Amino acid sequence: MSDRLRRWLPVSEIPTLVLVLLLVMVLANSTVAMEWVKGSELWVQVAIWAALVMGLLALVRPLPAAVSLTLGLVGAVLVPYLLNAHALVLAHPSDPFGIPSPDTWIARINASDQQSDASLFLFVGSAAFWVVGGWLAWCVVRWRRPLVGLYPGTAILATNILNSRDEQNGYTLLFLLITFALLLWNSYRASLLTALRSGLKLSSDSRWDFWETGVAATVVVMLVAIFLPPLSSQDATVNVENGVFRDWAQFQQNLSRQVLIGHGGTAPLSIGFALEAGLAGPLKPKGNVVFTYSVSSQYTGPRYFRGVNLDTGLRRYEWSYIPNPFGYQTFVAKSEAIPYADLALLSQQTGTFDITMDRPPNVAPDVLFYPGQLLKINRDVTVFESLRTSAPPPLVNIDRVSSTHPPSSLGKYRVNVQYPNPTEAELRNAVLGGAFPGDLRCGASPGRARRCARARGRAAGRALGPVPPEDRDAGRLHHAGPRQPVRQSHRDRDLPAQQLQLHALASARSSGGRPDRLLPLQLEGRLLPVLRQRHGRPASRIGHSCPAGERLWSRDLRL
Amino acid sequence: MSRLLLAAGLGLLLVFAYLTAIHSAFVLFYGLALIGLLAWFWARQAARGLQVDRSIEAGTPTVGEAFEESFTVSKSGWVPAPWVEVSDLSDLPGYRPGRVISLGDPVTWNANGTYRRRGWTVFGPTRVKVKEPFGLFHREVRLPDRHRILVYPRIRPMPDFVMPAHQHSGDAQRLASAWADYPPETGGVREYVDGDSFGRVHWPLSQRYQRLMSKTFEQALTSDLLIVLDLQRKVHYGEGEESTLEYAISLAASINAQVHQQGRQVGLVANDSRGTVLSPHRTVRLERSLLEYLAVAEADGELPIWAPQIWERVRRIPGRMIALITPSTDASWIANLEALPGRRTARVAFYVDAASFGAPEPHLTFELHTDVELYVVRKGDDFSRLMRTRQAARLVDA
Repeated sequence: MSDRLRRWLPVSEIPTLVLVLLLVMVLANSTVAMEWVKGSELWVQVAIWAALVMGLLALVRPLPAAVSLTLGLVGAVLVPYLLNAHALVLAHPSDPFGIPSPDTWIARINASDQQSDASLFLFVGSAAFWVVGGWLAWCVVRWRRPLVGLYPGTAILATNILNSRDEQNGYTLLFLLITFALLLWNSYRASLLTALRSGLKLSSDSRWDFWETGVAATVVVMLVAIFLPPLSSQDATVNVENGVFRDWAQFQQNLSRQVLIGHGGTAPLSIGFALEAGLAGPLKPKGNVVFTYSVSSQYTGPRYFRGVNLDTGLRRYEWSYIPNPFGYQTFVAKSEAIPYADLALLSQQTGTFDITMDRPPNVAPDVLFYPGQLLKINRDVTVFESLRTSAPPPLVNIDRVSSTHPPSSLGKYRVNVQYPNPTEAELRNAVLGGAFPGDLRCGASPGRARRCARARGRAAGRALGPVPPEDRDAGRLHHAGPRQPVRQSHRDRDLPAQQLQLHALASARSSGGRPDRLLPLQLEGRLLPVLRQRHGRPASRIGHSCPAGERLWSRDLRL
Repeated sequence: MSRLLLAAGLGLLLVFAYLTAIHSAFVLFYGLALIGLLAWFWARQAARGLQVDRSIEAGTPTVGEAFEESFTVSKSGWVPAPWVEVSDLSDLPGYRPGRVISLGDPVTWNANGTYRRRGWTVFGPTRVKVKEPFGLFHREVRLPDRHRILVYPRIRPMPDFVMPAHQHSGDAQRLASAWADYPPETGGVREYVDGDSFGRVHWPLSQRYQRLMSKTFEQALTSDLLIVLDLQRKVHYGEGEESTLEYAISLAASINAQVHQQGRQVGLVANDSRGTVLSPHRTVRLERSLLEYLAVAEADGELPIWAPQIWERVRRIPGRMIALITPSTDASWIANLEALPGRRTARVAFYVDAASFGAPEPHLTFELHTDVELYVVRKGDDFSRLMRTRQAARLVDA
């Protein structure tokens, strides 16, 4: 290679570029493993290409930095767009170049709407990884400041780690190892070039001593980092959320009360309800009544109130409500029956609830709450089934009921609901064909009922629903009075168990000659997302034994 | 700034790792925090108790002379310093004594250099930069100790330099090697030593003491030399050693050395900003003083070499041979030189040809008196050869 070519393209920088590429691959693969969005494997290629392009631009010394960085910025827009152009145009056919307006972008990003608009997130992610790879390569190769170059990548890796459990262990170690190697190599190269430029001669053992001490220090740091015990062993995000974020939210809530169009008044909002179960946790009761209800005396069904259904569509282990704009939704006029597909398959009991909503949830002020399976409501509502896109009515599962007129759940409304009331034998024979899982047990004893109540209390999580202690032995999940106020619930104080074994409870009142009636076990969707299946198996579901959208878990669950 | 960002980022990571209790987050935090702490601690501790000793044999160096400086670096701390850069911050051209060393035990090395500039040469201060292997932190120690050494002008051999013929009676070439043996004044007597010529025998005293006594002589002022050095700012041309100034000063220093070696005195008159005059003295040897002046002399004068004030000073030191050194293309100095009184005053002119140093080519016309010897010194000339070929080097012969 001629001297001129060497001067233009220093071959000795190739190891630096290789280390940068390895680091970028680790960062990109770490993010892909998180499955933030389908098709995110593309980000690995983008990051590698960015590192290669910017690394080569950094190596070609005659090119001014301003020119190279400008080219890199142009690449950060062009390359991700070219790679995602087809999907963008398909997803946004009415938008120029398939790119929606910025306010739409921001709204979707805020809503974490990855699955419904994957192309947009792929585009944004591609741009981000172009910046991560390119910036790292540029900072290391041209500026010799790896610390500056590592910030974006480290932030992404930290985000991945903080949103994971075990998937990032390998990537974390690889990242640390390659980062230390990069720091060592970059320091050596920079020091060597500085020394030669200053006319300093190297003593015979300086090179050896540098690498010897550097590698030894790296090994020691890696070992200490791995074997040093964590400073905490309990997830405390919930406490912080309760302590800081919640107070802040409460403060904001008190400052600005929502103005309800059509009512001419304002209403305070509650914050104990969320549409997703990310880093969520226990809530502390504030004493503010969210809503009150009264129920017809014949009603013996569950008194858990459903807001929305959560699902695992976004990520494998996290639950959230999927606001699919292309999902099925239908308008149901006031007091008209909800058009279910198979309502008559099993006979169920019915009941009527009069609900007075005092503090609608701040994240979904239009959501109407109801127990069991909704039959009628005395409001104009829109009923959503998110995961169906093209099927015509009637409904299979209701994922959300929004008040259309008025546009808020604030105030009084009446719901007619139905609920299943099968016996255990009916369940065994009719639903599971007799193969009843062993760890799904009916608990009629007071001890089991207590455990179950505790478990249910945990399961209630941040859901809206009281857990009156006097009802533990009663075997009823809820035993609210005729006008029992429902407060913003809180996590049960004793939550030590790593496994949650669920029991269907037999009603103490239902004995007396008659066969025990299994209460359908309901776990509020708000809690489910924080539960993870030990073996990654899908939740078993008992079709019409539970009202639509409610899951019955038969496996060990782990927090 | 980047370290502040690192600290802030690590702080955030620690908070979130603590809240989430995710082991990988702690590993990441531990790894990055430990490497940062280790690097910070390492750089600080490795530079603790650092000591640098520099020594050099001063002597009486001249430009072009080689020297050797000894470095010893040691530290008292227990933390190893795998990358220590020792740099000399002096402004000696071409002298790079710095080293990159790995410091555990004391390290010693010698650095060789050459004095390339006359005047005061400063060795030091010394900068020591201690780096830890990860390049995150470093400590820089500046040791202010300096050694000052005066470097004299380059002295070139001038073996054939002799006085003009009429300075001595007879054949100058023949007497060249023994011109100091015939001073005009007798200073005393001593016992005869084998080899003394009969002309030195003091016969009356020999008769009185009944043994041969030889006469001793004192140096006569008329045989001494006065150098007239042109240090006018605007007549000199060139930079560094390859300049008319350095050639002129080197020429003056070489003549000074040669004449002193022959046992005569040398004086100097210069048209610098201070109007320097160094009169030769019968009992005080000015060789060192003149060299010291030449070591620090600068072309900072405003008066031209032909200015009457200059030659008035020259006339106050009568009866000496005059050696004028100038690059001035204004030939008026010829007239000044020829106008000096006294038939015994010989005149030699060294014209440093600025054109050979890149100056615009002058149109010189010298009309020389027969008593004035003119030598032209050009860039790259060997002074000794210049003397031998003075006839060929004469620019204009009267």
